[in-house]
Amino acid sequence: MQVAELSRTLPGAWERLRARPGAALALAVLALVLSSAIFAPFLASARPYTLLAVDRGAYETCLAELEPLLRGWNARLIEAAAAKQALREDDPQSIHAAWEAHAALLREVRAVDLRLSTVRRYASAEREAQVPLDALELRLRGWTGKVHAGELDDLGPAAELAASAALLRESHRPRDGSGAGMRLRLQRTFPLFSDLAYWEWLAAFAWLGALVLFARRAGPRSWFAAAAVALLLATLCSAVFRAPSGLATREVKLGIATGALEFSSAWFPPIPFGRDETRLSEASRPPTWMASAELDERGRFVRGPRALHAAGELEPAASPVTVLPAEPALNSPMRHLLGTDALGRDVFARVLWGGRASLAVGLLAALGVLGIGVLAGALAGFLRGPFDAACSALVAVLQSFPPFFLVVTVAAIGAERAASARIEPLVWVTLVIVAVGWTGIARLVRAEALRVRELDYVRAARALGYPEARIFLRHVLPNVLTPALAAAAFVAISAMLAESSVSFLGFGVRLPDPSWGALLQEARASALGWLVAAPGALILLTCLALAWLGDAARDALDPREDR
Amino acid sequence: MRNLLGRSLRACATLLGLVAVAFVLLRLAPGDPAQLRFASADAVEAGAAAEALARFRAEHLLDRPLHVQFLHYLGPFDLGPEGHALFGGSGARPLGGLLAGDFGREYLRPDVEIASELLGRLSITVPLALVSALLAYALALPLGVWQGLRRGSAFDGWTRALALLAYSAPVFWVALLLQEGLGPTGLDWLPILGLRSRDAASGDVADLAAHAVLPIACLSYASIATISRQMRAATAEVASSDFVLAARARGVPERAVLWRHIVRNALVPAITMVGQVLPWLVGGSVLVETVFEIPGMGKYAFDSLQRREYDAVAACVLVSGVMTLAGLALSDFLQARLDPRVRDAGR
Repeated sequence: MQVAELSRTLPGAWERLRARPGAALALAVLALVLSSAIFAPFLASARPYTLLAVDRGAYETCLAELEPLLRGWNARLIEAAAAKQALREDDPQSIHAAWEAHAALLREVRAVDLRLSTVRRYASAEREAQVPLDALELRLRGWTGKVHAGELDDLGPAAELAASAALLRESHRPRDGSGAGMRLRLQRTFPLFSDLAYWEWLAAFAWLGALVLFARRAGPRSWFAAAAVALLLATLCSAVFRAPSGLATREVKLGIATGALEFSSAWFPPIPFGRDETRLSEASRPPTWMASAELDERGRFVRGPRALHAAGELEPAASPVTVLPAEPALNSPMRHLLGTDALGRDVFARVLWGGRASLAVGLLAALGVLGIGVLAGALAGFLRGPFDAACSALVAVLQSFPPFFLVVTVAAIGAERAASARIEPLVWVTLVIVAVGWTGIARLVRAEALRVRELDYVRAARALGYPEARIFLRHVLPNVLTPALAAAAFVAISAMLAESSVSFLGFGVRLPDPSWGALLQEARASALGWLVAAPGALILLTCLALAWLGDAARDALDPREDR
Repeated sequence: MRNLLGRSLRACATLLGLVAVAFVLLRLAPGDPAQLRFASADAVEAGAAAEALARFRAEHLLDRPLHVQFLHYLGPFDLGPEGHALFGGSGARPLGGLLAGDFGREYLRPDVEIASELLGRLSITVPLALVSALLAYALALPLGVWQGLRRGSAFDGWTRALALLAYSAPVFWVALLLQEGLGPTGLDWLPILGLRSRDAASGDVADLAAHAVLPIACLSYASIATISRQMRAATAEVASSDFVLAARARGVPERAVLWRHIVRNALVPAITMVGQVLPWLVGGSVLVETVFEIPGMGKYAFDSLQRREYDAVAACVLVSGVMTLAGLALSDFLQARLDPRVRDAGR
């Protein structure tokens, strides 16, 4: 392919790309798929965005645990005092024992503090409720101070503290059906948000910013500003919501259903199912908009058992399906749009989450391949000599394997070693794809660099006496990028297909973390048709959009009109 | 002649590189491969495991330096305690290693020689790959020529879109869909597992063909997309070149222009793609053979990976590499046959 210098082709390339039929559609599809992957934790989760509730279970547990904890604290205190008395400067073992006892004591103090603060938060704000808590805490503080100061001589009041905790348990009993007991305060928590990691916030804000700026055709300066804003917002959000939500009950829906959570209001995501939320009573259910998915109240399929079970296999004993709060009704078409898998997990939620792994591996691997390929190829073509020879030999060896074969075997054989080096399976697969895949781009770019280095402007730069590094960075590197850019979409496609294939064979991203390929592996194992369709269709859709764009990009970057 | 010599030297170096990759692959296996392999054996099997462990260590010289291990792996001389007398062995088993055609044995089934097992598997994988490649070429070449001659037509547009679709569809997914749709759970047209029915006679060609339809279709559809794409571009380029114009101006009949001028010249790059298509087919065979349960090399590699028979995996990788090199040599040869410029440059 005849390729012109990037500086000449790039300005018009974007317009030419956009002008291609279907290019806008492909871009939109890609943006949609990426958005759904980035916002998956906001779209599909068993935990609500906000929840106004009393965690009655947690309150009762904390209240009940205070007394035994304080008794245990007393025991630790006696141990620490004994260890201190046995302490001799010249005996390292006794020093160690004293240190251990002290640390155990501090751990106990922290545990008591945590329970106390939970009780304090839920207990009513009235004075009579808070006063005993204040007194208890004051004495605790005094004791903690003594522990820190190393004065552990007086052991008496610890038992007294435990006794007052027992009193507290009586006086702060939460209100029950008869109306007796203390009325607890509602707390607003953000269970879904407090689950998110920093990078998840960052990805969400950065992606939002990118979409907005792209729509407004903003210049480079606003991109920098947007990046800064995204960083700031992500830091802010993760700091605000990272604080312990005070909600000890992980299963919010179940907590509400059983009454462990005294619930006032909650706002659940549109798909109120977690990616790992199993519900065996609803296992292997077809997509709920299909007639065959209809269940009766005893949990049996209304239209009879499915073919799979009719073939003589044991049909699992049906049990009634509990519809938890916030979930669509049992036979609502919206309940499981894509059905459930053999463990009753919602396929839609899993597919959304699976896209994260697949797209992350695909895009990161493509970036890695392009980066290493361009750098190695450009350097080899520019420097020639031994580096070029070594590089070309490596490329020749790596290219004499079927690439996918090599990826599978390296990923599988090295997986355990990677795991022992604390490399996530996802990162490991990415690394393997990059290590095997960079050769094609390197060859393309090397040929281009060999051509560019003989061009007049490079000779002129050399005649001007510029250092080699500057010639490489300013004159050669930017001008060999065109073939790499033209191939970028296809690199991403092959990376995505490689990841899904490796995961499909079971050597890539490991379950239960879903990726589209891993979901298909599960689908194959369980032989349920609706499990096969969705993940594969999404791989196909993403790759098709990429291929369409790649085709358009190749033509757009090739200035010859005749195509 | 010098060209040939240089080429074969380079091919030898690349082969050595292949062996090195396979060797590194073996060393990638975690820790001391022997220990890990037999760590999980329970008490009942402990005796057998210890024996296998000792055999494994002796076979691989695991307590010797790395370069000795590599030379031992490469062959043709066995450097072990029972190896060639020149290297301090007893001389009972002078030859061994890859160059002696010895790929070792499986650990858990010590009576299985990897080399002969692999040979049997290849007799399934290679014909499948060749038939798929032939099919792909037989369909893609005319398609590409047609597209190239009718650029911009509706036919061109639709078939190109279809080709992109084929290019993007993950092969294992297509295989699963075909199994579901055409297998016993769907239309029940074709068998979906294995290469022969349980009750079929050994020479039943029709049965074999019925079993091979879906795997071959899965293996070849993506190649059809890439080859036709190449053929289309080449045809378009040749058709608009000056010598075609000149031929038409001379009054050469359109048939002759098409066959002798356009197709013949446009064929070269497409034929050269054999070097890429064959490795793709071998790589794809892991997926296709796994989904369709065909006992070929791909399935062997997959099973060996699952059973941690890493020597067998390395052998598969090595053989696939050699097959790729053969494909590249074939494409060089074909290019030289088809293109006089390349042929004469070689002289």
